[in-house]
Amino acid sequence: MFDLSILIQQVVYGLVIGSSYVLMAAGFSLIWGIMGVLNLAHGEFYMLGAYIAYYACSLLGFNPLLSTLVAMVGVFSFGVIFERALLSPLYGRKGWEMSTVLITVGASILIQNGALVIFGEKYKGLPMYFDGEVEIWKIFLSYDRLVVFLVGCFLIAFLWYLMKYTRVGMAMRAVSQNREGAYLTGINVHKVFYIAFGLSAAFAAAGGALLAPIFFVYPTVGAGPLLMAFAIVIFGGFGSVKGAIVAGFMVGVFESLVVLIISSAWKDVFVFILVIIVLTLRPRGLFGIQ
Amino acid sequence: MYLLDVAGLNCAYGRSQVLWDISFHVREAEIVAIIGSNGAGKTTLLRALSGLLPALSGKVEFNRQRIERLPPHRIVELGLSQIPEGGGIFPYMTVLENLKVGAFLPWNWKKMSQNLDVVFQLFPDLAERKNQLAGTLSGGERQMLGIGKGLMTSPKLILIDEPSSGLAPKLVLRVFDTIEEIQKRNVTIVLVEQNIHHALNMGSRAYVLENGRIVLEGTSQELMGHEHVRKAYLGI
Repeated sequence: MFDLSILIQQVVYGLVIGSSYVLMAAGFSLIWGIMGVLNLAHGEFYMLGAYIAYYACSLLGFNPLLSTLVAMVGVFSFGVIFERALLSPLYGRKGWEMSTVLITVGASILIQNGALVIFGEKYKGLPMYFDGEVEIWKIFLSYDRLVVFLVGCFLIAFLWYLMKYTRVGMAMRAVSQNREGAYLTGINVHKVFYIAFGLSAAFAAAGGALLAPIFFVYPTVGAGPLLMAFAIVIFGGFGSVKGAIVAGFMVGVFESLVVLIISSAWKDVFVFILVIIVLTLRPRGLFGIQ
Repeated sequence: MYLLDVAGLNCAYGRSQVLWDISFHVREAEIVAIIGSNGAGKTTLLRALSGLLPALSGKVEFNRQRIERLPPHRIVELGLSQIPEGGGIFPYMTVLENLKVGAFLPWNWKKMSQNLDVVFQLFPDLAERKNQLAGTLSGGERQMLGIGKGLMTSPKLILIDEPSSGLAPKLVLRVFDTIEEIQKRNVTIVLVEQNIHHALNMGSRAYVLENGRIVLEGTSQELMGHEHVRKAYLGI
């Protein structure tokens, strides 16, 4: 059998990947919950975040923390413009929530091909920023991965705090639970929409930016994480940020255990088998409401 | 000068017109009842006043400002708060969080603790249950939470839709008592009710809505004695 330390090592790797999944899935779930919009361009925010971080790091020499921050701010603005320009004209029309699916698919294709034209088709990789690794009880973790994990967890905690305790976060939850009630409480629902959309985009960008030094960056790099976010959000319960956090880490750990025990080629297959099993037993997902 | 002045208001859902030439007014610190049976257009009227349903034509003036074209959040900002049937509460938030959301507007956020004291004084039950999820409250408690949430917006006028609906008779009396208590704190109240007996007992004046039109108006006493009201609504 395996050495126990290898197993733990793999669990830790899973948590690292999981933190990036959570960043991606939490925003995806947030937008579904608040706006009722299935944002199929969410992967593109991840990709843009990764490219911005790549260029901030390679051209400007920023460290990973700073380039992640730059990516988040940049993609936040992009997300707000995206919502104002493409989604807001639809509000209030008949069946507008469905038409947003088409709009976001179209935008996704456009942004991907735009990235292909602007950034080129070559895979871009960054050299490790922090050399070396830490060792705790025979578990090795490179500094790069440690940074991803810590920053990821910090951002997740920040999102949690924002949603739970701040005025804006409470307004977002109010809109997701009772839109009409929110209107009648004096909340500017359309403003909440674009703030939430920008936030969701910024967190996806953080997921992409943090993993840029570990994996490659290319125009379709967001497709995988989008699919994964979809699976995680279904698993955790649509519209629940808490569900996305728990399910994101679970899927990350599960995936890396599959890599260890079976093979990396099978990891997506097993993740989706897990999702199907969970849904058969609990159709609403882990923390699904309604 | 009227606090709320509605003149010639027409409203429609799609192509079917629901409200016809509605005119009424409310003075400061009054309790006015709008009564009518199911489907008379009471809820539609409230939706139109709070900006949820755009008016076809007509004028709505609140505190000397035209509001019929304003979005709902702007109307709340001006001090007109609506409590929809069922309270308009947020089921997966605690009672306290619901009240905090009520204080969403920046100037209310600043005087939140002061307004919270008032609400908990009016509704001691809510203070006891402040950490409970709003979705687990009973119908009466939800109604009280809805009113409490409305008060957190520091309103000049509150519109209450069917406060008695679905409540046990004893609770109805308590809710109405509280509404009177709120009026004493200088908040003007428009009550929309099917429970005509209670509504007329409470309000100083009332309007009768039938098929989307106001067919009668007067002081509560006059309406109590009016033959049409006695026959159609009070069953006497």
